[in-house]
Amino acid sequence: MSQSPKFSSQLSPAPEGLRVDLLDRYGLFINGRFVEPASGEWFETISPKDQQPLALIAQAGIKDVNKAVQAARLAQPKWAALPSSERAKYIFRLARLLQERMREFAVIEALEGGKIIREARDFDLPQAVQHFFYHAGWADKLQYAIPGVANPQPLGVVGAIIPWNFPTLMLAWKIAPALATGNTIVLKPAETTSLAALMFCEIVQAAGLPKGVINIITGDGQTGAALVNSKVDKLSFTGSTSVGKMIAAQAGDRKITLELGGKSANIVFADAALNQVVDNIVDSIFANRGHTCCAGSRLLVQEPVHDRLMRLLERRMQTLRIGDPLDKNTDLGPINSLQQLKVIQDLTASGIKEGAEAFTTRTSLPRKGFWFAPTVLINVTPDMRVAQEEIFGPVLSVITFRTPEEAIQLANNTPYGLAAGVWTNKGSKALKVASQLKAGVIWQNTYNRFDPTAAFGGFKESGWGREGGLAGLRAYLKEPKQ
Amino acid sequence: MSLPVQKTYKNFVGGVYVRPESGRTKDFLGSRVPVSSRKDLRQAVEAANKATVPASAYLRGQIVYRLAEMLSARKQEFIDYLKMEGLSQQVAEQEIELAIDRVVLMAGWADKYSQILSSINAVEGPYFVSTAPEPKGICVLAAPADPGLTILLTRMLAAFVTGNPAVVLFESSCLSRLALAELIQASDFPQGTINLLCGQLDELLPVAAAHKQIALLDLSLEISNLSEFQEIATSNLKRLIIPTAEQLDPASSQSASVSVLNDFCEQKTVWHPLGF
Amino acid sequence: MPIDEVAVHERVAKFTARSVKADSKMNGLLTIVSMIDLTTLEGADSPGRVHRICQKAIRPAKNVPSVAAVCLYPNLIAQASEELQGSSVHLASVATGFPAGQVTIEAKIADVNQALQAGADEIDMVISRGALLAGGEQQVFNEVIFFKALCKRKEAHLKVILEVGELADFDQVRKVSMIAMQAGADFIKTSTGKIPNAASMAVTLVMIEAVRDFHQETGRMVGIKPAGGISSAKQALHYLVMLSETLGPEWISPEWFRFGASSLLNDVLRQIEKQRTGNYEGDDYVTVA
Repeated sequence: MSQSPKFSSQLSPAPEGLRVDLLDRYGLFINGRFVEPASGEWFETISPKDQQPLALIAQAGIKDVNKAVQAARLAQPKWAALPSSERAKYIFRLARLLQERMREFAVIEALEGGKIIREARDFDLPQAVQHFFYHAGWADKLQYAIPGVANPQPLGVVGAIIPWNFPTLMLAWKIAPALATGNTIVLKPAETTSLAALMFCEIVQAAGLPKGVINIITGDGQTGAALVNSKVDKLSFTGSTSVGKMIAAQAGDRKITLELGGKSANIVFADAALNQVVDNIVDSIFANRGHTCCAGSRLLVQEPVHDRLMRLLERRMQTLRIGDPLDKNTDLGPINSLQQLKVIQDLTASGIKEGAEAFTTRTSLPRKGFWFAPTVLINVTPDMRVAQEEIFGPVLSVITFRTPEEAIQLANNTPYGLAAGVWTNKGSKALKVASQLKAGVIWQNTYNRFDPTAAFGGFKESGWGREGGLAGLRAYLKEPKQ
Repeated sequence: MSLPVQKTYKNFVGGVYVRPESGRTKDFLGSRVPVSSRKDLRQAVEAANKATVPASAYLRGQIVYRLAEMLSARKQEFIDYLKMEGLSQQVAEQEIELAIDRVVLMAGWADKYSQILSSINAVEGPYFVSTAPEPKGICVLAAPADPGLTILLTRMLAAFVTGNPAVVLFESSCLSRLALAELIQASDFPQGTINLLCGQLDELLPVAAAHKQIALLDLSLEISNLSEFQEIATSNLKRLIIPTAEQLDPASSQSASVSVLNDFCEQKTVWHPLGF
Repeated sequence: MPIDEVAVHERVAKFTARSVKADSKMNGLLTIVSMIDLTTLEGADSPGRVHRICQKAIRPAKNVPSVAAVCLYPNLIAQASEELQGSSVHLASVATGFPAGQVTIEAKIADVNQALQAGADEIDMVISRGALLAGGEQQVFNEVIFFKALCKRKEAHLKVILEVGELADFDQVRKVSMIAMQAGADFIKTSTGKIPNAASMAVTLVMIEAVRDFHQETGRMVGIKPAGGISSAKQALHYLVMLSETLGPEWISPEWFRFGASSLLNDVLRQIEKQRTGNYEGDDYVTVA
């Protein structure tokens, strides 16, 4: 037999086999059980890949929010008074139960949020589980959290608002440290991605957590505003800078953590490992469709390697598969919402209008749903909107530089300060550049790597405070009184 | 009445159950238990030398957490062992519950101790300088004489969680301690990272003190001729750890503090210039 | 260009996360068979063994293509050449003092000439790692040029074995790949298979990217052969994914990619049967070479 069909990179469909059964509608999770919203209002959640409705979600009104806060308030003293080893074991249970159901949560995230199953399965869920494990182990070691403070005290009730880009992970980032430090929590997921948080309530119940320690209230911006205005002792918000500013204005004397937007610079020097840079550019701006606050959305390339890098990047982009987020081979799913798609389209168009050139992944996009092909804009200059405004999509703006000083200057020239990447083979250069960048997270020769032990957060308008590590833990404890 | 099938108790070395090289055993509460000799210690140290403690702190924590699950599932069995070994029902129960919580606590240390025990040093000059803990190497630990598992587990796990393979020696409370091997095996500890030897300590400890492959000797029991030990141990300047009374009291928070972990670590400082 | 080792491994993890199913899997399995250099390099290789392996190479199983080549020690080439007459299967000989290369240059030359005269149309040569690790890159370059010239006279192709398990790091792997290609290698090959660290996806990726970059600069295509350590169809499918996403469809051919393997073939044959029938195959249902 001489001729046989050849292997082609057009892989056969590989749909995720696990089905998750959804209810028709989900109430609010207050004081250990699901209840109907006092507001009587519901809204629909859809799948962004084809706009199919998935379920009805409760819209929590002011009364509902206050009820949740009250439940958390009543539960808090007993929760804090538990022996720390007991609190640790409860949180270990949450970690273990989530670990057992990781695949289901990954499917939900792909279905409701449009995140590809491969990312949800291989990154989001394992990270979320690890986050719970990490913080469970702090519950009985708080005497080490603040040097000189033998018995640090919790703040009380935490109000948390999370975005749609990492539904389960953001939930873990808020709940784990809050509980480990003896606080109780009321959490509002993003309205386009409520299902993972609601499914998490089943885990809360299975873990036998005391009622009222974790409360989940769903709804849109109004629900969020009600939570900000309620009697919570601490606010923890991850989302856009514009909303973050509004929250900061209403903080009063409450402690507040803000994880906001960014326009992070990914700096590539001529002596970088260029082939690996290409892989990491894909990770830094096209992973999760660029819906990442710390995305390396400005690529600063040292002039001598610009053309070569663009050629390598363009070639690599043609291997990206865009399509059904529930197919295990898909690299990019749909944009999370119509609203966000419009923002991405508008800003990209502005870039071209203002003089940038574009190349994209040349592929046909599905007709139904919200789709945008990964795009690279070259010849971008700092004055263009695409160099300044957060696009929050799979769009990369490329700017050249000549010297390290120039790179640092360009990188810092933004109101944002969340993250940065530095690519060079020279250790001393990587360290010195890092020491001068005004960003809260700096990745040297890598990008978008996260760990519960490594504090994450921004300088300047990218936010206040840190999440993860000891720095993040302290945000949930009282400052010792003099 | 059906004839019971009696359990054989063996040493646990390199991830498998082995009889002592000499074939010597003794009676302990009606069962035969190993009487290990220097050859068994040598084999255990070799197994520890070949072992790979996982580099991932998270993974080490997961393994130890699983040990807590295993001990919790077989709580009653270990309470019964301790009762056989002389503790009352109440004391045995308290001890095992404390041991379980202690293992959970140790699991949580794996990815945290280095954050507390390390620093970035503000040196004079354009250098990035860090100081961080690393494992010491093969640790041999002598368990307390009195029956109980909490202190043995605490110190053994302090070694493992900070990246060291361990060999645990004991002479008393043999059944509960040899049975620990089953839990360790079920918890996916890599082969050779934890080894358990039952034997005469007055025979084994001097050999351990002199053995140049051993990096640390941890003594949770009274040594009558301590200065002799210290001198033998200087053959390779191995670290000789004598826990304090508080550190040996399972109910004391001192017994599982970060200082206990620190004893099993070696601090490494790394300098790197900053310059374009 | 430096190589970042951690990022290479992360990229490899993306390839192994690809799910190759249904038609893709079947096509992949058949393609793999056609890319195998069926290898036996034992002191105990006998005429009987040569006979069986050549027959297996030509006809691995029903409705399955022939493999790409048979790979043998020089002493066995003459017999194999007769056995493979009239088939599409190439005949590769290891040479130049395989595997360690610690023989004189005269011995190496004699080795290659013997194999070519006996009928080999492919030579898998080893580089002098000892010389390389002492800084002798020029010597490595010169040797490749020389042996390429010998091969060219007989229209044979030259594979250059880097023995990646003995090289210092990925940077050196890339460097030596470039040297071999600049000196005229037709193929670069990872390993002899005789030391523990043989092919891995990571080191193969480094070599594949070197081939791609060399092609970009010079327009010349060079083939890649990972050898040793690839024993399952699943692994081989991941290599195909890596090849297709890094180099593209043109390279998915035995002309540009080979698997140096012995037990891989039978695992692929079992997988092919499973794709066809839906049932898992046992060891007794594929022939022993």
